[in-house]
Amino acid sequence: MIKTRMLNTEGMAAFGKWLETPTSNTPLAGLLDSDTMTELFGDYEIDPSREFNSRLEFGMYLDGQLADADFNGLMSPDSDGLWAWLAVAYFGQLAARGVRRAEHYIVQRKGSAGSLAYRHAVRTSYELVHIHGHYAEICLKSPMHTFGDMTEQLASRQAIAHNRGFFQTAHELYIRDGKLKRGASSKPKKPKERKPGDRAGMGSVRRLAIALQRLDLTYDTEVMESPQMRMVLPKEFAKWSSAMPTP
Amino acid sequence: MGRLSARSNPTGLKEVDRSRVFISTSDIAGRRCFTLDRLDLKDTGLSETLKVIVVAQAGNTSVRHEMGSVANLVHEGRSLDGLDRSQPLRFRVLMYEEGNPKLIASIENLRPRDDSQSESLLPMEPADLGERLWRLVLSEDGPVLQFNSLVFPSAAGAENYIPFGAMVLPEALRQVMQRIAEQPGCLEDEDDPWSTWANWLDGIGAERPPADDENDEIKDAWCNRVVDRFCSRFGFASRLQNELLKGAGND
Repeated sequence: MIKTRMLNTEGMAAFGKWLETPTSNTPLAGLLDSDTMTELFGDYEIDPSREFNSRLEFGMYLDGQLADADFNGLMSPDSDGLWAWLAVAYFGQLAARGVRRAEHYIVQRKGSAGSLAYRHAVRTSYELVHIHGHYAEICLKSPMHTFGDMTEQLASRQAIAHNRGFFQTAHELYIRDGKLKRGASSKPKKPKERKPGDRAGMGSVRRLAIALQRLDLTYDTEVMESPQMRMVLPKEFAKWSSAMPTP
Repeated sequence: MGRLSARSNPTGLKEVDRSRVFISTSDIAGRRCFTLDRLDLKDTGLSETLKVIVVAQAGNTSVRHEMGSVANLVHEGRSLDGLDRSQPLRFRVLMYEEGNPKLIASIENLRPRDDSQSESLLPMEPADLGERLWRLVLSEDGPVLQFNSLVFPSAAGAENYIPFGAMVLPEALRQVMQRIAEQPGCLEDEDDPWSTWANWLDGIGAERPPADDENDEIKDAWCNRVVDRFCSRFGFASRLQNELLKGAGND
């Protein structure tokens, strides 16, 4: 076990530069415990040699190790150095199939379409587990090296990513025996391209995200529990909830 | 299967005219807040018991605050921390009965009352100050907080350095309040650049300054009460303590 640290300005710059032309899946030797490029962060410990089967497991581990930390503080820019340091600590697992763009390892708060903080491999794993517990499985079932389209779809909009009722509902509708049901993440065709009777993608989790945005116009969805949400969902979701107990 | 429609109104939601609500924003050295200045629901038939929620949105980020009930609105400023500052800021006002999340009324896509109010009341500027770290310049156009450009290359650098915020901003604000206490009439004159501080005072729930013929002791006490509220709002002591504890761990 080692004490948690954060990359300082110099460490962030060095890590960012290394990510521009990564030569392996082991960033900068000595960066993890560098005296000049890191500093201690709080009084927490992690085991950098620990291996995880999924980002859910990873998020649960971090949520436990950071249990005494202030969630809002960890989400603030003041803690961006911690997330970068944790990405360095577990870089071997996160980049096992290749190094992705920098925002997956260093929190990027500005992008052409808005904040890219949700793409951070470590921060988002922790954030979703902290808010949703095991319901975060809908996004985080993927192995450590995979970001996943589901995460892109659901975590990119904070109003969805932080909505407890939505994650509970999605978990209840689309996960069975710890696995995503077939067709749950299907992409529905645009109405113009859909033939009569073509129901591919209808009622999928992508449509659930759209449904939430619609419901948001007529309900305060932030305070809705899963049973309330399921009662007002459009009929296209009925087939997914048919095996569910009636609310 | 029909497409999900955004245009139907199956729940009988009442859309309230935007002109009935005023939301303003203020920014003190990088800390952005909003205030629900006014929500006029006279003659709308809406119940005074309705709960009021304000959702602030910027790009793909959002924050949500409960603002009391129609009859008992919260007028204190609420934090906009965590929103994407590179994206336009918009607000939603939601109203519904306690215990039932179905909206009774809403007001959508609101902008802050006046974009000029989004500008900092206490702008920060770099300056060559020799060995001095900071200085507050007070003029008829309002206050400017100057910081030593050799120490901090940018305003963001000074704002994000926790000891600077914790130790400098409260004293700078106290000097601003002293200036207001000396000329309290400036808050009532809409043409006076200093009048924008009136909304800020209301936003943090502070009382207006004492009359200008009151003695210095009463004026000083008012200044200190405002500074105390400001410090409580942003938790300067706690933030600095956390920072120092991090430093102690390095020893």
